[in-house]
Amino acid sequence: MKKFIFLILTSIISCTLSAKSIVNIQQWKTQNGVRVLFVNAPQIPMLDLAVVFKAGSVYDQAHAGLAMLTNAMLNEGAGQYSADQLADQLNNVGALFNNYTSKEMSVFSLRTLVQQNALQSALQTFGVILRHPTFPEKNLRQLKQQMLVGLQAAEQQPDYLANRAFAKAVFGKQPYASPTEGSLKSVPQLTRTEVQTFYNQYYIAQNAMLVMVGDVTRVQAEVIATEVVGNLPEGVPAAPIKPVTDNAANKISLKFPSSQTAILIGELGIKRSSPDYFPLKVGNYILGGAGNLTSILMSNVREKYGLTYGVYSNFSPLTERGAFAINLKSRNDQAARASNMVQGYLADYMAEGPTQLQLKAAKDFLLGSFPLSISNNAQILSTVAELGYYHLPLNYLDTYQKKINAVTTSDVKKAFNHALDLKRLVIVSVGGKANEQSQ
Amino acid sequence: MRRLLIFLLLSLLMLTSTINAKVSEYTLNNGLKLLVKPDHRAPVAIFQIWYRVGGSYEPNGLTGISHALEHMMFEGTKHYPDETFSKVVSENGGQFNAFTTDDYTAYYEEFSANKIALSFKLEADRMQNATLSEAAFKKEIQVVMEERRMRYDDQPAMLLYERLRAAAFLSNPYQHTTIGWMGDLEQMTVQNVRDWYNAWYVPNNATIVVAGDVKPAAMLALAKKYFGQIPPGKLLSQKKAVYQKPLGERVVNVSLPAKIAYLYMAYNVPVLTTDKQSWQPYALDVLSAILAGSDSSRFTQNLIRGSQIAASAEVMYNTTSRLNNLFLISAVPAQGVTIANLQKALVKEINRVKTTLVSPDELARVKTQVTANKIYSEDSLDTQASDLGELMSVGLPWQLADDYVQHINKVTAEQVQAVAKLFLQKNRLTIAVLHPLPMSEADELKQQHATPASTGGIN
Repeated sequence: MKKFIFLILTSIISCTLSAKSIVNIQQWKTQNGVRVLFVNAPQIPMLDLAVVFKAGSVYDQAHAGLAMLTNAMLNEGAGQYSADQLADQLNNVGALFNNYTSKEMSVFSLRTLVQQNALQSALQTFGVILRHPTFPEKNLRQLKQQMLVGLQAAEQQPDYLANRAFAKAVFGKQPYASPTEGSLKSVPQLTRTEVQTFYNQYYIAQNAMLVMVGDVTRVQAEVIATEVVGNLPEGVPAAPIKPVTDNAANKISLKFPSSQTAILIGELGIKRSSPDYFPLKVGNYILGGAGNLTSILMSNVREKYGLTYGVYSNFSPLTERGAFAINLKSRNDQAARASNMVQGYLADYMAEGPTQLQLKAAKDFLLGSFPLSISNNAQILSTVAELGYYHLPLNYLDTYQKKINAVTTSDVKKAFNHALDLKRLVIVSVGGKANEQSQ
Repeated sequence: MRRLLIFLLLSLLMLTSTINAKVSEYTLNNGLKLLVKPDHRAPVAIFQIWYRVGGSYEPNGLTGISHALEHMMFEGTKHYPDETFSKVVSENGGQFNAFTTDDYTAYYEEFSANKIALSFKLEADRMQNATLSEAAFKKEIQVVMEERRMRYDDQPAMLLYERLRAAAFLSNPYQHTTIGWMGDLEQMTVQNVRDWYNAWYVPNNATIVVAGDVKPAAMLALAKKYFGQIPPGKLLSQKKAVYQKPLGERVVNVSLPAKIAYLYMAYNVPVLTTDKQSWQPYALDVLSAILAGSDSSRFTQNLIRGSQIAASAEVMYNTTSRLNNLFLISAVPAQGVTIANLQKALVKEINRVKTTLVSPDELARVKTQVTANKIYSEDSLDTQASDLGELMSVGLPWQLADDYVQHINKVTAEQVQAVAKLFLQKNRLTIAVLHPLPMSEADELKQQHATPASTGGIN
């Protein structure tokens, strides 16, 4: 009896403990309407910031590469400073600046020490870069050249060519199809006026979110938020992204002088807000999740038959529906066998779903490894940014394990069949023309 | 401005010495080393076991064997057959993998801290009981060859790098890369792998590093419990690497189907292990940061942004390798620029370091960056553990992980100039150039019509 009471007591205690958030996210808006998410992490004297704009390549329209060029141009000259001066101001205080573009987002991040001189100087430069870019013509020319060389380097890779063909087949002429990095045709035509116009339209408070993790107080964080994004014009929010319609089945095979053939198999998948998100997360881990060396695809195609170094399946959900894809590379003369094998495992999995044993193993991993995914500031920053961007509830991390735990084998099977239809499968292979020099 | 920078640097240096957690070091009776670095920020921990064996231990004919053995270590033991290792770690919420380099082979698992004992149990088991069956090897060597195709054979710049190393190192085993030559992978047998395993995977050739939410005494107890009874091995005595006197520039030309040209300029230089008492490797490290590595460095500001001769220009120099290594410049010309002109521009930058002292601002900036990065590295358990394991595996004291910043901060402008003059000399230089061949018929046509300016080489 005593033991029983003790049990009740401990369960109450653990309830109150778990009522405390795993990651304590504070939220507010700046006066001009920028949403701010902040996590206090006082253990290391540093601060991570990320400013996320809805300004990715989905807004490129006819100018593939425009979003990326605009993003890359911000630190090429701002206020009264040249690119070199901006770089020196940041590096003088040991700050790390980073910028990148994805299909939907344009992201600027800063890692700085919180030592007063360093923090002040880094934030001031970061603010100028975001609010007063000057887009010098000379730097624009150079960045365009660099993008072109980057594209040529990419076109040496069979997997890049496979990805490009796959995106075309899955997204057709819809906005997600626009290659973020542009193309050899589109990049030379991009102009300074287009960059300036794109900046004016999308780099505004209504399109922005600021995420901060680090060793500053809430009061300091509010001052920093105002300093960094408080002066952005409110602007008009970007128009909602149009729903994406289903792709048709397609089989594309390109000859390329490589010793391996790059293979991509997939089709249009789900939205980030899909109710199937959790069953598909668990289910995809079982099928071919990245990092799962014992997934169905890895255990067979690599471990049993030795046909590839790695084979992975992946849903890439976006605000609207993103792609589902399985990727692998295999020696030219056995690529067809590997591709057929993967298609077979996918079809079997959709027909039968996972076994109870597979489901249990997947949950054990996903639940057990959850603390690893939020164990440092860099991870917390990117996790909170994802929650913020897709408007997920701030207690998302607190309910995450419960949601994983609730998934059943039939949920997984249902979700896969709901999200995917083998009659729409796109199969791309690039390679097959042996490269004599490397034999 | 300068005074401000130096003031900042001093206060940062004080900061690094206060935030560095204590490392506990132990040696078991069988020679196994254990380092523990507590970090209680999150309830997680990383376990790494480092074996002192890698590509540079391999004789000709057996290149790639350390990496092939690494693959075989996931193919089962007596107690955990086939894929059981991967399954057990995953089902306990662990992330795991392994890596092989020129100098070491390391395995790691990251867990919730309360699961970390499992690492000791599993790694002690596979140090002794790997099955290494013929059937598994026949399959796995195919996977290794696929990895080689992916990382080297279908990557023009990597094939060039492989040929560069073969030419730049004469009697230094860095002559081949860790992946190994394809011909050697083809003739490798499971018996070769077993012999390699028996020779090197012994407690007196390994270091365990644990970082995270753990107590050193508890880790020592686990190490004793699982590894304590493993008998030490008889390590083959390694002959000292001998280095040949530099006698003149070497040039490697590689023609491959590719879209862009590529240039390597590699100078043979010393490292900390071979130049222990000296400031020279630190000065070379500062020099590499002056030239490349951030958007304040000279290559970026002068060659990429300024004259727009280079599309990219990088320097790679690792002070903590086991044997003498390369100060390696890699660059891609901007469109329409010849390799010859790119090389001229790079040499001009090198000559400028030799004739003019780097400015106090530049030097202070590099030192601040190194110091700040040391503080940032505290955010990653993996980095904290790897810094210790790497040093131990190349024969350097682990204390250098913390002391490194102080050494960098002592480097003077005169020392940077001195190492540039001493080591970035023509007779220490190997040049490797990738000349693109057409990748498709369309490219072939284009190349026939191209002007000489866009296809010129350096010879």
